[in-house]
Amino acid sequence: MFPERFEAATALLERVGPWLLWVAAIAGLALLARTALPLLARRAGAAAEGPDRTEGWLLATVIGALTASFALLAWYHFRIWSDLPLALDARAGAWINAQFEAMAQAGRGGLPAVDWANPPRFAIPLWIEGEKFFFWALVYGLALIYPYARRAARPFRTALYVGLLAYLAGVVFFAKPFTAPLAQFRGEVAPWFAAGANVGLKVQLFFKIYPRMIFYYNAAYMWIHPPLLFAAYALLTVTFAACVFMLFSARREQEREAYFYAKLGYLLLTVGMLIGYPWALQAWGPNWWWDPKIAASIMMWLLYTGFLHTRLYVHRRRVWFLHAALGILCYLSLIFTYFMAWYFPGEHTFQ
Amino acid sequence: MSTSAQQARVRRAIGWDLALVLLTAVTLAAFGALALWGMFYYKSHAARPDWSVPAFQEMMNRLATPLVVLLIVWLVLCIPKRLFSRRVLLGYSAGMIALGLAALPFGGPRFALGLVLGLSSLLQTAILALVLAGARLRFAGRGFALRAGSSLLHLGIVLFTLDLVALQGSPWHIPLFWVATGLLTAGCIFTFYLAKQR
Repeated sequence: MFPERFEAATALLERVGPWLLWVAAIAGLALLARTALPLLARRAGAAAEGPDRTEGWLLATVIGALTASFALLAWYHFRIWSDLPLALDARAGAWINAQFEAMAQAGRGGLPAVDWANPPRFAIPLWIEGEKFFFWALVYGLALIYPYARRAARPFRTALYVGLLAYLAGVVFFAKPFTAPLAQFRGEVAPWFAAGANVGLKVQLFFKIYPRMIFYYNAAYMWIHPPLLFAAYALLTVTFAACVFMLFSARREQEREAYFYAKLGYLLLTVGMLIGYPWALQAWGPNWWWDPKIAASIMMWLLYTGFLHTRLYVHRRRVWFLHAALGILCYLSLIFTYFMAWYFPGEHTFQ
Repeated sequence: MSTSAQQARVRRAIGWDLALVLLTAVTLAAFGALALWGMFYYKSHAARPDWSVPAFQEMMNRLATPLVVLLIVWLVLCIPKRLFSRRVLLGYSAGMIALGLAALPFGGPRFALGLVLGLSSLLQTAILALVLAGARLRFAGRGFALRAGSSLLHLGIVLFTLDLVALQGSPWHIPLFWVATGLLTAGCIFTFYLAKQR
C-alpha cells in the first residue's frame, strides 16, 4: 500500500523501538529495586542516603534508551517527510490550484496553492497520537536528573522511580508509539497511496488530506503548543510527588523541590496554553469557546495559579497542608484534563 | 512616619490584598464549577438531534457573564492598590464602578468593561514604569525583581482581558495578544527566577 521504502522504515521502527523501551523498563526496575530494597529492609539510615554511582548508571541507561527511542522516532518522521509526498501530475495539480483560487475568491478557504514541482510533504512533529505520551515520559525521565544530582532523600527518589515505571508502562501498554506507530495518520493517508494511478480518486482524496496537513500536521503551532504542555505535565508530576511527601513531613527541602518543578512547569503551561489561542482562531475560527478540553485546561491553570499563590504563606502550619493538598488536587485536574479527550466530545476529542 | 504606623499601613495593604485574593478565588471557583457543569452538559446533550454548539456557547456565555464581570471588577480594583492609600482606593473603586455603569448606556457591556480595563491598563503601565524607576510602592513581597515581575504579570493579565473583552475581531487583537503573552512570560521569569526565593 505505502511505498516500499516507507514500509521498510515502519518495520524497522516496530522492531527496534520496543527493544529500546524494554531496555529502559528493565533499567527502571533495577533502579527502583536499588532504592526501594534498603527501605523495605528497614536498614538503619537508609532513608537519608543519597544516590550512589550504580543508581546514576541505571538512571543514565533509562534516559539513554528513551533518548535513543526518541531519535528513532525523529528518523521515522523524516522518512514520512521524504517517502510520502502527495504528488500529482501537472494537469490535475493545475485543476486543484484553480479550485483553491475560486474558493478563496468566494471567501471559502485559506488553503495555499501548491507548487507541484515540489509536492506537499508531511512535516509531522514528534508528539502526535501515542508519541505525545512518550514525549511526556521522556521529559519526566530527564527531570529525574535534578533530584539525583541534588541527592534527594531515598524515599522521594523511590517514589519518583515508581512514577517512571508507571510512565513506561503507559508508553508500552497504552500509547504504543512503536508497536502501532501513527496508526491514525497512516489510516488517513493510506487511501492516497492505495489509489495508485487513479488520478480522479487522488484529486478527491487531496481535498480531504491537504487541509488536514496544512492546519494540523504541518501547523507551525503544532511544534510549540503540545510539547510545551507535555513538558509542563512531566515537570508537574514531580511537584505532585513532592506534595504527597509534604503531607507527611514538614521538611522545607521537600517544599523547595515541589516549587522548583512547579515554577518551570507553570511557565511552560502558561506559554503553551496561550500559544494555543491564535492557533485555535486560525484552525477553528471563533467558535471553540467552552470546548470541554479548553475549559478543563483553564481550570487546571487556575488551580496551579492558586497553588503558587498559597506558597507565599507556606511557612504557616495550616497553609503548609493546604498548599500540599492543593498541589495534589492540581495534578488530579491535570490527569483529568489529559484523559478527558477520550471521554468528552469537542474540538480536542479522540472519541 | 513612625515604625508602628508604617507596619500598620503594610498590614492594611496586605489585608486588602488578601480580601481581593479571596474574592478572586471564590469567583474563580464558581467559574470552575460552571465550566465543569458545562462539560457534562455538553457530553450529555451533544448526541441529541437538536444539539447546536453555537446555542450551547451562547447559553454558557450568558451564565458566565456575571462571573466574568465580577472578575474584571476585582482585577480593576486590584490594579491601583500599589499606589493609593486605603481611603483613596475605596474612592477610586467606587469611581471606576460608577464610570463603568455610566458607560453602559452608550456602548453596552463590552464598551463599559473595555473602558475600565483600558484605564486600568494605563494605570498598570504607570505602576510598572514607577517600579522600573525604583519607586517604593506597596507590595506583599520584597525586592525589585519580585515587584517588576508582579507588575509585568498584572499588566499582561489586564491587557489580555482587555484584548478578549473589547478587541476581538479588530486588527489589534492578535498583536495585542502577543504583547500580553510576552508580558506574562517576562513576569513569570522575573517572579520565579530573578526574584530572591525564600
